[in-house]
Amino acid sequence: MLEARAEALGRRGQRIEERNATRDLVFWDPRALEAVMQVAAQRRLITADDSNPGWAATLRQWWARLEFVSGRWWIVDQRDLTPDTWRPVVKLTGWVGTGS
Amino acid sequence: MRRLLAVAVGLTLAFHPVRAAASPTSGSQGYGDPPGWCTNFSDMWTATIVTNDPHVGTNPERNTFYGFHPNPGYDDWYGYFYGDFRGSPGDASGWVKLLHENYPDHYHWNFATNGWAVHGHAKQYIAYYNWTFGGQCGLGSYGDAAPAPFMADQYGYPVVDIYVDSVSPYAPRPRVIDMTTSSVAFTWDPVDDRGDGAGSDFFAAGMDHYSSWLTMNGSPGRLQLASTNRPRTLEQTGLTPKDMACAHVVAFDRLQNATAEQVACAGRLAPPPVPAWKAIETQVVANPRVQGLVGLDSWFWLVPSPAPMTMHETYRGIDYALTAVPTRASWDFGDGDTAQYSDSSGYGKEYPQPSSVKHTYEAHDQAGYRVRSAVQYEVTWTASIEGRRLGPYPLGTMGLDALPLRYSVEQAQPELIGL
Repeated sequence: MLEARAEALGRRGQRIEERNATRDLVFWDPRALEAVMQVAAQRRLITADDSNPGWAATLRQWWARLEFVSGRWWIVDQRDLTPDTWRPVVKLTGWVGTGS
Repeated sequence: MRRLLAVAVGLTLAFHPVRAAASPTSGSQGYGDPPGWCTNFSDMWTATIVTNDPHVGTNPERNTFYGFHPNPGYDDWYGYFYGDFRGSPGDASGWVKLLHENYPDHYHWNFATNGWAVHGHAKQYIAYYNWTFGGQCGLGSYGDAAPAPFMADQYGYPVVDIYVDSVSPYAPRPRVIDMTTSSVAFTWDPVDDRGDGAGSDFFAAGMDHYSSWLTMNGSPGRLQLASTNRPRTLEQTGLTPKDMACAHVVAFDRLQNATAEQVACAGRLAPPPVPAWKAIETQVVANPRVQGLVGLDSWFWLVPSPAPMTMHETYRGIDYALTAVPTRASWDFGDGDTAQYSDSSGYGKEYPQPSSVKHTYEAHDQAGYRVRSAVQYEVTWTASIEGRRLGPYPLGTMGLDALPLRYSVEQAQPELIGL
């Protein structure tokens, strides 16, 4: 999927650039194995006709459901959440780093 | 470890847009698919964009207008837009022709092309209509009563949900919350994100953080600079009378829309200017009331008896209360004698109580002796900050003269009234 998207972008001479990204795990359900990660960044779309567009701030929350199969973690479903379904930001990064 | 792995995978993929399965409303809220919308042959990439750019420079569809059909084919591109994209919330464009395309050229379109800008929420559908290759989605044609087969863009993002918040939060208001005679402390109340758009298309990214710092005496150097999720207290100590501290606060929402710098300045808690006291004027009163007699004690007192006085004044935006408490009195009886009293006994007592202020004149004076008294007050001040009263702090002493009394004194003459 990602390769297909990259190929589609490349075919049109486009490239998405992102900088100053911060990522926070804002939700984790250990039973349902669902996680929501918030990504705040600056982003721009490089095109063949505009190699230096301005940067715009972006924000998104990415939801994923995971499965542990045959010793490996798999993302079995995922999507960007629309803002009306965003999770409140409760930064859990400290907790994640101490997981075992 | 499992969590770490999951997060690691998430971190990797969270960079990238996702492909979502087509749904009846193509995965977005509020607005259904437009009439004539046909998703055959499209990969149906959808995207949700949240940005602070009203012209949506990261619109993934803005540069995807490539021809699908070699000559003798050509395509017309159409868009259907919902929401707040041309100044009215709840707007719906109908199918708008965006551009005509000749194969193999490619073309661009974005909101600014039509003079539009998104505020709040907008939903974008992009389709092409192929005049020589109809039938993929039915035999309708543009302008017919039947829905025309507006075919979802095949390789781009035919449906994009766009959320724009380009408006800064409400401005924070830094203010003084505490002061001493050598320090000052500031804080501010939390503010909300103002949000963008209106009605059902209103969107607010939400508050993110505050950047705050202090400056001293107009110097550009930033002291105690920090980024915090909530208001904090900024305190500067060791202030001299000439120092002025300023608190600066900028509020950011989650899309980094920032308020203008908000500033509040204050020095240390300084004594207020001494006011012109408008005390109730006291006057000297005596007994015997009209005339004294040589050789006979005259009693003196002050009316009304001196009592504590409080005045309020506002200075540099701070409410001050000044209190003057009488402590002692001095007397000049007009015949060269004086008396000092170091406590309230110096105010005398009203007749018929025996007064502690007494004097015996030794010579008559028809015109009257000028009897004067001055009361000494100790003055303190307090300041009211955020509903708290700070102080009291001393402000020195002052003397207030009582209205003098012209007091004539007679010599009693012996008179033979019988033998």
